[in-house]
Amino acid sequence: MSFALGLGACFVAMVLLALAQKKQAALVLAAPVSRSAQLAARAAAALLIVASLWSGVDGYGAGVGSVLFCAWLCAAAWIVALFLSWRRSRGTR
Amino acid sequence: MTSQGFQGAFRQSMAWLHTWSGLVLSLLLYFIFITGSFGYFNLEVDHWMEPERPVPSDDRSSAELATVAMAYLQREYPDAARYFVGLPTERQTLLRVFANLKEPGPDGKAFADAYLDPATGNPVTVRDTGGGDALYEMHYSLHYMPYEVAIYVVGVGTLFMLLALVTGIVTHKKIFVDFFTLRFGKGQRSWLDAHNVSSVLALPFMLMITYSGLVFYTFEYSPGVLFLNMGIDEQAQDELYAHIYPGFEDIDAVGESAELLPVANIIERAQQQWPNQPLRYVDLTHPGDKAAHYGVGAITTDLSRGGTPLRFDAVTGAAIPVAATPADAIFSDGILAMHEGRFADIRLRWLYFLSGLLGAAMVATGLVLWAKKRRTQLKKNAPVPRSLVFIERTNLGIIVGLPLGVAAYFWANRLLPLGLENRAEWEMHCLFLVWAASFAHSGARELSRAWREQVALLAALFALVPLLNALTTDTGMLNAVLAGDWVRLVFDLTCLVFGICSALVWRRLPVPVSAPVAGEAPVDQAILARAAGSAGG
Amino acid sequence: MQRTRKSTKPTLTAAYRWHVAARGLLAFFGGFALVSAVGALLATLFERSGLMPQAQAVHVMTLVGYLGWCGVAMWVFWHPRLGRLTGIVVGSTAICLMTNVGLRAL
Repeated sequence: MSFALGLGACFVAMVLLALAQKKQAALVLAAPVSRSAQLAARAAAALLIVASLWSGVDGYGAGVGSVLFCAWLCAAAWIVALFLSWRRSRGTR
Repeated sequence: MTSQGFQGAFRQSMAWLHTWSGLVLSLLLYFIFITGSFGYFNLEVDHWMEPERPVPSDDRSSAELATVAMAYLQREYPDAARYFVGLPTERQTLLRVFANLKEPGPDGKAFADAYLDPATGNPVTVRDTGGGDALYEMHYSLHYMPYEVAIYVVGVGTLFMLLALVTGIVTHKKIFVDFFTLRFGKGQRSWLDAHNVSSVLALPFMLMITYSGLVFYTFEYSPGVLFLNMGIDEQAQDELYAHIYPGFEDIDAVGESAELLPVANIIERAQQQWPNQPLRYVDLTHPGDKAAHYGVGAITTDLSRGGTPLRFDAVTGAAIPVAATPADAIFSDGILAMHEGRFADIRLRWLYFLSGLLGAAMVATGLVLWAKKRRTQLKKNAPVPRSLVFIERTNLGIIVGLPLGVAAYFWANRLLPLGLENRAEWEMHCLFLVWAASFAHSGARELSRAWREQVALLAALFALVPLLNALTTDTGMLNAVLAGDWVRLVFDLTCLVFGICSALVWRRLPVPVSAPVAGEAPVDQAILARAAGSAGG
Repeated sequence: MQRTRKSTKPTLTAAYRWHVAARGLLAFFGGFALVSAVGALLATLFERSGLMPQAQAVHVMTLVGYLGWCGVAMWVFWHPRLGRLTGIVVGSTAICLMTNVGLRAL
């Protein structure tokens, strides 16, 4: 269960981080993101990332937990990157 | 990058170093990433490549299985120095037995090993194949080369990789701005995106896998400190390794025979100490001797390669104390465990495997990017440098040729006659013959045609693996479903998916427009640009 | 040795190739020599100061050495003057080696 939780937290964090970037947000959202909303998204993402690391370490121990955390981060970032590039290809072609 | 010499500009120097440290040994690095990735599924590939293996059933206890296996070993090899029993696990479904012989057997080997069917206790005879192990072992011991040489070749490659990674990080101008940026269909820009994303979004893996690769051969690659401070004699090394690997000190035989406790008794004791961990192996050193002792290991769930084994006196059953592992050894052991992913469950194993393939993608996109940049820097009507033509052609042989070779390896496993002498070696020859043929083909054909033909072949070979399997064995997809043989089913499906992905790439490769200019083969810019579009998807 | 430093023509002269080869050799072998010498000296210091046993000091410094090698190799390709670079690498390797031998003889 904590595998899905950790991955999920990383995924939401990555989505927030992407939305905090102007050019990525433009692919998904209609209106531009305000400066304060960007800041809030980044702060929330940071919290989620820490939570994910904590859930990994708590569920699997410090060693394996941190490896899992890195794996979740990368996998989540990949999903977001691929989704955004799919959005982009639909937008520009 | 520049031929203006080294002027002390940090970013330029590092960009230059990144390009060349990555490019020079790219073939080796690509080979290491592709073959190494199979290490995360070596046992699963073994299971597929040995269709004679029965489908697992796990209704017998560890104690029962160990008893059956030890009885087999004592019957077949009464005069052995050590017995080893690998218990079935989720990934390795057979009982593995192994004996260190006191005298070399008739085949000249000082050991004997076999797989037993856990259900019957009888040895399982499988076809002569290298399996997944031969495939992944090549990522550090290569092939057609003595091991002692190969590990140094790989070591140099690993150092280049480390250098390429670190210089890549320090020269990447917009690592966070471009974090999610993967634009398809934009020519050179797309290749750069793909190169960046494949490395940045797997950077922890890349750094870990490269550094830990060096740690495997810590003192082989860098013996300087050891030699300077502890001397070059063997005693120094013994002292060092006793420090790094406590718990494996030899206990000598005393030469008096004694009645030993049955293995089931030892398994019970181990299970009392480790109530929640499935056992991985039990071994017996000096069987029949008064100094005989059992060792028991569990499946690792922590960041270590094997965990410290439990050791028991085989006569009294008393636990033999094992020294604590020092901090530096815990660190290096953890680093190596990370490399091998010993603790990984199936989900993490898949992520490891995909990360390995991303490493290959990173090398491949870097290669294409280099050639692409050279092309765009050429002045109009300027002659194409031979080095560029050479690289463009070898790129195809590297990038598509090796996966073709791997496909050929799987095909050879099913098609080579079972009685063929040195069959396992011939499977490997098939891999390298096909790879060599790919280089020859990319050198002989007009390049855009060669790309299309090889990618089409790749798609066909992988997509047809399930059919091949169904026609040549009774472990085809339908039977696998009926038997609950998920490993073979997923192997077939993975090949099918890979074949479909290759077909999608093939569809995006442009059809060659005109006949090639005599002699020189022009590379259609659009090929690379459009292939970039498919590379990530 | 510094001929190529001044030349800004984008041509691959033989001198340039030799220059690159020299840097490559210095980075690879010089890097290992320097890292081993510094590592051995530090390991001796760790050991003699009672910080850790000898085997541990040797192990730790070898593990750290790979990262050190990477740093040295990058520096060799960054520093503009090959002559001075060679001097620094060879000189500091020699100094560390001698200090280490001296310390161990104490």
